[in-house]
Amino acid sequence: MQEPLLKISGLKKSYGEQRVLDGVSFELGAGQIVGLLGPNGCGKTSMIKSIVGLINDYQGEILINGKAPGVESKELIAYLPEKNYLPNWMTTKNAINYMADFYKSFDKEKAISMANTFDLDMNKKIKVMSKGQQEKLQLLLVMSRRAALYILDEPLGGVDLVSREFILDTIMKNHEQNSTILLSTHLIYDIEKVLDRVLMIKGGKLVVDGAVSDIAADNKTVEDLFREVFRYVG
Amino acid sequence: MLGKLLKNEFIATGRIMGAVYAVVGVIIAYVLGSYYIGHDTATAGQTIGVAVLMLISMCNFILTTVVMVMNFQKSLYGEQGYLSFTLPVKSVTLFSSKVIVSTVWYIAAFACLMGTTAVTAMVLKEDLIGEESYSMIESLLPMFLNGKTIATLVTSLIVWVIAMFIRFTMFTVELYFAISLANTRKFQKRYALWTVIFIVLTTGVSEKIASFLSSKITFGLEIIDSSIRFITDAATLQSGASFINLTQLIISLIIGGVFFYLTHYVMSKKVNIR
Repeated sequence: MQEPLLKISGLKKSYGEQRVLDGVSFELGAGQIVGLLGPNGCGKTSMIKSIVGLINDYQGEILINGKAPGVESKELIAYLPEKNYLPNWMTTKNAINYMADFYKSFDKEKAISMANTFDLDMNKKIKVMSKGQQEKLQLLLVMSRRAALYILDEPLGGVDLVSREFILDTIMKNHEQNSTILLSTHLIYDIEKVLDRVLMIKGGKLVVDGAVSDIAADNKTVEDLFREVFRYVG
Repeated sequence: MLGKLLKNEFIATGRIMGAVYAVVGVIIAYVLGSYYIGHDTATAGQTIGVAVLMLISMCNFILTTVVMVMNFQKSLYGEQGYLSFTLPVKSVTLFSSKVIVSTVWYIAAFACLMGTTAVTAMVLKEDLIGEESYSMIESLLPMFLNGKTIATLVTSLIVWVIAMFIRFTMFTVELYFAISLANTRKFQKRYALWTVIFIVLTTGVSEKIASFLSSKITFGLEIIDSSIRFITDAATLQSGASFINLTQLIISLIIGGVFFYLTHYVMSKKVNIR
């Protein structure tokens, strides 16, 4: 039997007395676009950081293609964090070369082509780039990977409507065929149309794990369900 | 992957350190150039040049430490940690690259100090230290070298260079252990303060252990005239012989190994990147 791309069993994580993940379990196969939904502070980022190897002191099990997070899984996962993680002395060219140095799955030609499309100056330093340019650069570095699993943490947060459309469009056009995208956000309306499946986290627990087609069959939108689960006032 | 990490680590740290050594290089070129063009006594320009060189060389150790500490903190435990820790490399390789690069910069700082001292001595001679002192050094030097063969001098020099290399590496590992421990959850809020406290503790404790054990165990090299031999009994050390203490070096190496393992453990198991 083929191993799931990502298998999480009984994942728990606490910060001191505060438990942020409380026994989360799910599996992801190949070729899905999955929304990881929940309000700020519900444990989405902690779960993502555990999957990509930034948090190690969790309880439970995380398996990527049957193996615990490590060197092999990091080659399979392309991760876009919320933060600007690139050193500010780097130029666009430096950042592209850096990724090409370390990731076998990094397509340098595609990155250069995307930089041109995004109108990013190859010799401009990150410290003098606008926030939008920095975000475009980070996005192109992730989407230039031929990864099996793309994990994008709040890629639409803090940007205007036009930028959100641009980001979503870039993700959809550039991800590897048959790859899986795990997209964390609290802006459901923007991504609803592209999702195959949703995972909703509330208080550190996985409260919804369902296909978007099943939700639609109940005459609901993902946003309706989200409001229901989190009791949002419309 | 270690090679790629080293390359990128040198690029990251070399922006500042490279500029320092470029300035040192320009001043040395000026001082030596004007010296060879022909001046019996040092010119004001040469005197200022060597003074600046000496100042840079001495401050260089502090600058190297500051640059290494900041680079380690930012690239692993700051926002750049999101990049470093998601690279497809083992954390031990990541840590090793930081230690190797820091050690190289410390050795460069040491070589810079040695080079600067040599240039100063060559150019200023009596002008700087006075005619009498210079003559005294000139007369004492042959006494120190007297009877020692080239092989003996080369061997002791190699042992000394290895000892320096080990000392710098151990200092780097202790420093990085302190920073890593200060970035664990308990101390993370005031990591700068805890880094200083842990640096004082780790260097202090390791120094005490090494001193205590080396006072109890005699093991080293005795260098006298044209011979070098191992000594395991302090009573057999001949008067006038030079002694290279290997016990302290070996103990430092063991302590450094322990700190290396502990740092790797803390990095891979205990640190949550903010």
